[in-house]
Amino acid sequence: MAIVNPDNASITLRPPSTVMKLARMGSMHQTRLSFMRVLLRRLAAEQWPIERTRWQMDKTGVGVGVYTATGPDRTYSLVVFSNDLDPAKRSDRVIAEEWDATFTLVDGVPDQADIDRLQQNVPKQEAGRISDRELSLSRANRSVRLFNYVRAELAKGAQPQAAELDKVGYLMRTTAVYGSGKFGALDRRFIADREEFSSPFQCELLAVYMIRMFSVDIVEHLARSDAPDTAVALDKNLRRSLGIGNSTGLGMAPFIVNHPVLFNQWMLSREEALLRVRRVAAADAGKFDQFTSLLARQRSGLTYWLSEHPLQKEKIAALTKDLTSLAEKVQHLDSLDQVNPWNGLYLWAEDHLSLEGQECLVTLLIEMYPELVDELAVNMSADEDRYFKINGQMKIDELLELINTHYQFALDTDFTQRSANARYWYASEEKLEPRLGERFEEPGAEREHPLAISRDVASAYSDLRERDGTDSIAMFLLKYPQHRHIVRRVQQAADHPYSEIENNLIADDMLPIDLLRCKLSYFGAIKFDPRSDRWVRINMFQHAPLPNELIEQYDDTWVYPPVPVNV
Amino acid sequence: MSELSLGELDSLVLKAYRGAGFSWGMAQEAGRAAAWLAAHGLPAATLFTNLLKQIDGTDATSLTPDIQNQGWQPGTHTCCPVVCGTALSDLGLSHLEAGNSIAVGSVYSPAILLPFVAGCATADGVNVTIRVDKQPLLTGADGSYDAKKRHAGLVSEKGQVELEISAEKAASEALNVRRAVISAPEAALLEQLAHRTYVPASELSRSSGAGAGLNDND
Repeated sequence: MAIVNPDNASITLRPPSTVMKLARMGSMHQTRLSFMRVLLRRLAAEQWPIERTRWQMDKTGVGVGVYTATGPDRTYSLVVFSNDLDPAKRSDRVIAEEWDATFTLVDGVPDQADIDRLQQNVPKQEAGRISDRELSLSRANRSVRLFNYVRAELAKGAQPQAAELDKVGYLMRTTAVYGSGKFGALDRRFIADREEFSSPFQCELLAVYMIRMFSVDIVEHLARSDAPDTAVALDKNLRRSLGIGNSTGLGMAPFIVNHPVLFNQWMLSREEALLRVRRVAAADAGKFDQFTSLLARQRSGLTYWLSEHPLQKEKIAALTKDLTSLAEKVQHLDSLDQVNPWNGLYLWAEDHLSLEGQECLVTLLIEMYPELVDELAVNMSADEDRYFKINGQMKIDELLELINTHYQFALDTDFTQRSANARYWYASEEKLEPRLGERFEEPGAEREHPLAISRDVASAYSDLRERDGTDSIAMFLLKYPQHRHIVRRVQQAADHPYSEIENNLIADDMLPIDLLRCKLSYFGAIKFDPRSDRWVRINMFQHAPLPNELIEQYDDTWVYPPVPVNV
Repeated sequence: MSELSLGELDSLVLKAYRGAGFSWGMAQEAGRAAAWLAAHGLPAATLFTNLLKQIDGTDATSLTPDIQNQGWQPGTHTCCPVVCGTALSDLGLSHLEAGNSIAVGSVYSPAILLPFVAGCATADGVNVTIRVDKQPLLTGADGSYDAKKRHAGLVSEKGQVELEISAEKAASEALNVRRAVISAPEAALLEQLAHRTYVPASELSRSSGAGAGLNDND
């Protein structure tokens, strides 16, 4: 058993100035606190049956399917509208208007009237409307290459090659999973008190888990249509090795900037988990064996982390090298004599590994101590309303002090430089989606969204310093309403030290994929594959237990693939 | 008439209010106030449509109350309820005692003050009656709050507002209305204002704004 030494004051939380940097955030990996992991732990612990309850598909794979997940208190249903898409129309971009399949998660069990209503709306996605009976709206396209290969193999009566599956990792790729209040769906506030949704994004991820089931069911269905006499079902080990893909663009990036209190809870929980493990006083040989085995599985998972993006290729290469060094380092550790062994290893990593390697180690360390860290998952939601109200009684001097304490990174930036001001965030008229523009090359900067946090803090700071420091913020804001959004943030940062990204989000060298990577790591995504500096592909639920396995033989370390026996 | 989720209404009003020329921080307040009103079963879309029709194009300073050293000076101009509401919320009511009152002055769409005053009352632990042209807004004779009573003045376009701190605790109503109702003309006006916050596509933005990069159909 691990012993935590609570007096170990020399081991402290990593400071925000270390953690809240885009380069590090863009190197984060999933952990046991990631929302997919939390979801499956619950489904397993509470023994949720998840079943296909309706399947009306024609030979071309066009029709309706329903999957139902039943918890102790409530039932949720994924309604699927499957399409025979003209290949010319297949695009993952948000500009697409038709998809291979579209989905909605219904709160309860849909009746025929619901299905009829949804059929008129869900396939249209953003152009349709859903109701307060629905909790999410999403769509997916086939990974054409893999889908067709698997379909052909199964039709022949053969199983596809595992290595071929691993190269892609999924049969279908979602291109948007909308939740709370979007396109008419029920607002999160009305389900936030449900036990099963106490962690963030649980209903969206429940939908994704069932979309993964559909992706295999539809390929089997089509293989049987092609060759009813010879077709076979996909082997269950291969089935488990397939996740569901996702393409994510800039639309997701502003979320962690626009939800500073919530984001603080995510970052702080992860940091607290790391701290608890670094403070473990001693680890026995069994713990070291466990670490070695996890590391081997993590290394094996790297084999099929493929990307053509030059930056990510470099990062994967560095990580591969890092994990080799880590394996050697651990081999030479004399476990029994070490005090705070994991802290020693972590500090070594800070000096010897890339950011990818350091953050991967954080993931592995957290993985080993469920009894210390799992309880932190409940802290990852936030009552953001509580922090919305500005404290107008605060004096200007106090606010200046908060800026000095939490926003030094903003005050240190010279915004007279074009490079520091190069971009602006906006919403596009075409798709109403967040975009990033070039301030000095494109029109529209006057319609900039308030995501230039550093610049706006610096500007508020300058105006605040012009005023009498004993004046109230209430009086200041009457004269300077343009600083209201920033005053709110600064006050929120006082109690939420991990709420702000300590980089300039409009700098010419800012990489939006770092924002995406960070957020997606909290979801539990793996295999980050940036397709440009602004959109990324990922895999979700790869290697996750199948529905019957959730109930019968749940393995909570599913995300680390087994090491192949012939290696 | 159609229905919006509260999140959609919040976002639409936020953009419309920003589109009418106010700061982002004030627009956040407007969106949140709209969602509060709708959650309480009040006609949020109508109230904000009325308000924005009246104030669109007006300089924000001329819609701001005249406040010196925390004292309200009702001026001759009519103020925006979001600006007044945030000022009330910022200044707080904790320094007032039962029986005290604040003459806020002339305010457009005064029912929009409700969420701000309610927030203030909770934060400062006081009970407040809002009077519009001397009539209590949404409060019964006993000072209790009742959203179901459709007072004639609820959607009035402007009125003289006075706040009175009362001794009795108002009955609070659960936030349980899930949908905001909006008429087609209201939606059209709010969307027209919201549209001013969008940037039209250009060749450059199409090719790089979202980051086209590699082929995505494989």
